[in-house]
Amino acid sequence: MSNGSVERRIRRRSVHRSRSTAVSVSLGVLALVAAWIGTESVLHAVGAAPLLADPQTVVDAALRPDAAFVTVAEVVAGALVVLGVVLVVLALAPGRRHRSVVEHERGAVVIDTRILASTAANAAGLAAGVPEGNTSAAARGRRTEVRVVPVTGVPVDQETVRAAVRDRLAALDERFGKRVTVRVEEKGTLA
Amino acid sequence: MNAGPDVPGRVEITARALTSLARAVAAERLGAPAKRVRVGLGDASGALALDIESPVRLRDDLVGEATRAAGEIRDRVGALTGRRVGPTHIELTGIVHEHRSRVH
Repeated sequence: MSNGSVERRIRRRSVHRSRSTAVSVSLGVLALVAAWIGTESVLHAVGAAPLLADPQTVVDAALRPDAAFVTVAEVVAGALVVLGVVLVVLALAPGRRHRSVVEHERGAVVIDTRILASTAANAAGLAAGVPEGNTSAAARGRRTEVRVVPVTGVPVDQETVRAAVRDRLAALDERFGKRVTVRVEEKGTLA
Repeated sequence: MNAGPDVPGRVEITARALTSLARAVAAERLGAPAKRVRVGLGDASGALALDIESPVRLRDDLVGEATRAAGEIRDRVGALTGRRVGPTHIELTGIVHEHRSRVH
């Protein structure tokens, strides 16, 4: 694998989701709130009428709410909690996309995991001797799961299928073939 | 089913073909006309399950004969299709009267 910093960057950016949208939206909201507080402070200092509401009154109302204001405060607080949780998850989760890095001497090679999954399903179908539609596969990270519906009366050896899928995926990149699980359904289809 | 290591592609047998084959085998073995034989196919944990409804030629030991016939039909269908055949169920629906046609 080429280890140039540009390639490494490109690989990382292709496999992981960008956080710039979340960052710019929350920075925009922050800037708006800061601008509002600044405006209200200036208006209060010169003794003019508040633009929306006096920040001091807002804080007082929030700290000692009367009966009518309690529900509004609860709704606002709930929305803020949800927003906060979403932002924390966005910040901490790896944000992987359905793509995988393939080793290559030159350049950064990134493939969609659906290619891995359909390659695995194809190899499994050939090994098990079942039509294409009887196999399905899901690839996630390094893990590949294959499901085989056998043809009625034709026994399918799970280990053979596993070995075939492993070999085929290893031909793409040796890391993909390491964690392959094969599930053979008990009930088959007639044709 | 793979056609073999050298030939790309595969051989597939449709459910209809399996049904007609099983019907022909059962009719031959039980001595009934094929159009009076009904065959249902199923899957019994990966094996082909045969469900045969057919009249039978009159014999002394009908039940014993039908049991032997079930085993033979199962083996024959298995040999012809290359599939593993599991439970074979035979339901006798009547007697076939044999009309001896005279050949001069």
